Amino acid sequence: MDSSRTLLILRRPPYDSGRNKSAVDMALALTVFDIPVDMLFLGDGVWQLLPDQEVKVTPAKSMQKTLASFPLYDVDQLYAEAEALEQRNLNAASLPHSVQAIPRQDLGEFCSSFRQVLVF
Amino acid sequence: MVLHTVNQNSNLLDDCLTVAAPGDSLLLLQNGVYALQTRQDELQTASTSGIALYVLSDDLKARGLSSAGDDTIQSADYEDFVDLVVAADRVIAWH
Repeated sequence: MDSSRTLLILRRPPYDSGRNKSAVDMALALTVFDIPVDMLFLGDGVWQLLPDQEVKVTPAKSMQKTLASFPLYDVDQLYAEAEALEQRNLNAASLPHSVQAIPRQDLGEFCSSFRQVLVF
Repeated sequence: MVLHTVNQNSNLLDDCLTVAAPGDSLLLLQNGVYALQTRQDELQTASTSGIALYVLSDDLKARGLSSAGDDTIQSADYEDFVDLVVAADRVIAWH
């Protein structure tokens, strides 16, 4: 892992607060300055990865189109806590984006490989 | 070594402990200090696994609480907080 990278941890479900949008804004702002960014969806944050979130029934925007646009901004890799997916009956393979599941026991080492870790 | 700071007594602590690894430090501050009263099992498990636990003494005192008699957690003042930050390779602020 390139040690200059920044990790953003998203731990809230969709529509929960402005934190998720802040994380996206932060990701795009960092990439504008060529600072590589990865995103880890932790705990309830993995709910954001579900496809087919019907934004028309909520006043908020869905993460889906935003996440789909991330490769354009060189945010290529999304990570998720494997146990968080399992506990919620979600399967990483069925999620639309290239989500790599990481077992809980490896998360400490994973986070240590980043220069900076920001929690949203 | 990573220093984790946790400022709420909620599932924020669970998410932090999901990521925290043996050798890391965890500092409870602000409303995170209530974990001393209600999350003893989780804190004991973390301590046993090799995570060093600290609590910000001013935030504890401000809430009428004390860590006296609890040998799994060390009381820290603001100078200790600075020392922990300096000693850490990186800080993850759970908030």
